[in-house]
Amino acid sequence: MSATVAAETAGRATPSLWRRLPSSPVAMVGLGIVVFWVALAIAAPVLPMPLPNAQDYKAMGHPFGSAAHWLGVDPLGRDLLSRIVWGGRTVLEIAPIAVVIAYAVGCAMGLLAGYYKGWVDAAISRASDVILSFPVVVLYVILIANIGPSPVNIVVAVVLASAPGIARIVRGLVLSLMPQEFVAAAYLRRESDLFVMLVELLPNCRGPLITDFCLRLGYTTITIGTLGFLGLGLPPPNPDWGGMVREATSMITVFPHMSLYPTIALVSLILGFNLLADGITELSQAD
Amino acid sequence: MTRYILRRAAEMLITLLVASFLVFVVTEFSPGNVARKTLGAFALQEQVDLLYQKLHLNDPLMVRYVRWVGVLTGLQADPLQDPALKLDFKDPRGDRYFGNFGYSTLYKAPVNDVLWDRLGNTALLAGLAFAFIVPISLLLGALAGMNAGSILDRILSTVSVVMTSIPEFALGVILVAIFVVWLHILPGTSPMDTHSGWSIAQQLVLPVAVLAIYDAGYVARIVRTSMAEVMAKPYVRTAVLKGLPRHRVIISHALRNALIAPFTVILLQINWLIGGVVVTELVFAYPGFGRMLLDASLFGDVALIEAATLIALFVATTTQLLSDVGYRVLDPRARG
Repeated sequence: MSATVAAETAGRATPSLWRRLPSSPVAMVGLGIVVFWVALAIAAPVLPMPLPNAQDYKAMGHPFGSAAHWLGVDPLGRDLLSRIVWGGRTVLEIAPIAVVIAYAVGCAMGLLAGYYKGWVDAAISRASDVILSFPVVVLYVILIANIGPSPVNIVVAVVLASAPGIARIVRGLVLSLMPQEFVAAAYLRRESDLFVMLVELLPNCRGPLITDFCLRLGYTTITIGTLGFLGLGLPPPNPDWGGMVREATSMITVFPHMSLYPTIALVSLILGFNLLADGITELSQAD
Repeated sequence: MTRYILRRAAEMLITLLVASFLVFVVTEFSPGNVARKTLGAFALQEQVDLLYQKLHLNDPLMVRYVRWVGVLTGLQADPLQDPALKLDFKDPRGDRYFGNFGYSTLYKAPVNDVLWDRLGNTALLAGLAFAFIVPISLLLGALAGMNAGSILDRILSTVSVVMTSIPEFALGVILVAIFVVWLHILPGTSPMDTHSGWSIAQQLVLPVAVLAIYDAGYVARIVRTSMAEVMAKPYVRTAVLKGLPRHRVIISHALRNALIAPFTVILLQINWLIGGVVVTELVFAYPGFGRMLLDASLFGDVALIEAATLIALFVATTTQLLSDVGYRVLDPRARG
């Protein structure tokens, strides 16, 4: 091991992480699954399949897979494949938006708490503790049941539930970075507080945050699916994987495919995010 | 240590108060009020308005919250039980006692009549799941961690990732498809009575499996990481170099220290289990606490939501305290 290699990876961790991604089979499988769903979601409007809400009454008599409906139809005669592809589109829109906003809020909270310490830290940390002491699903159920199920409210709930956890990680990282020389150097240059926080501290927190981001995408996908299953997801008739399972479980003994296909779709996407997170963790530990 | 526990207990009490207030605020967003939900959808608007006034529901939020705390602590009589209202609401425990959660507008019964049976059912479900999670996750995690980097580690780690990637409801659907639809050897619902011809034990298999599999995968990953870290420590190398047999090295040197970190994680899983039971109980129509909370939230039964939240938070914060105290007992470095 030469010192130059170590210095290079320390200097530019992110590009080299991307470049080294192909060396981790776990990460590549995860990335492959995610890319597959993203591609389907983007191509959804041009794919040759029925619209997700179009009902085919003739297919309802024999709702299994056929030439017209590859995966069969749901209890209302809507094409399952089309609903799964469009459902993936909603998950892949809501989950990243929710996680990115949660990150913005969580990073701001963590930076402020770790940088200013004192009463700012106390206020932010205590507020986070209260939110984090809720069992997550209980928090979601109470919130969504009261503010109503809609994409915006799901994002609000995810941000509220996830930001404190992110804040706690960022705060810990900032506290460990504060005594380091590059922060002292920034003070000597009389940089503003905002500059130190955003330019000096935040970029140095990214290592652990990249893994956490992938894991949280997986969790949020689980959350969106679970909320849909509880009847707290997107209002019908919008296709939504959890909601599709909910509508079909009462017929699982007769038509198991109606609930199994959306379940498999959901599990595969979550698995993709989790494998990607695992691979990235492995790569960053190898440094 | 006593001072530490007392301080933490005080913090816990504050957390419970703040959280119950937050829930109070959130339920303000839902349509309808206690008066409408008490009288039902077919009551006249005048009747609802009258009850609304008599219950002082137009008081500011803070006043109503303090009144709720008053009823809960037994300092104040439950206004819904006032005989002058002629609502015929009777709590056999009286209208003023400590722990009075009030009246459930969903079940038309005192919350304390509804709550505890269901909590007992859920405790059975979660307790059984926990009894499986701990040995399974320790075994999977320790086996993978002490052979870090081997084929066995790869296989076990992949198994645990897959286990944590299947949300409870999805796992429920998959298991029902296999064991109920295909093999016909287990019931698809668990109403906890024997009218359907399935024994209670058979009814518990699938819900417990769903809860246990999801959480065991997560804990196994933590155990693996911890075990792999300990195996790379100098004192383990010393133990190997001084000629100890491998099983002695692992059992008396590595495992003991590797289990300190997962110990806290395992206790914190109870928090996840509470969330997991909401979903699992819905999948299997299990008469428990989680489904009650879901029904109460969808109906907007404030008294029941508050009671359920307080209990969920009490369990969550108590296990957190236990895990922190346990950590300090197990790891001398944390006592500071």
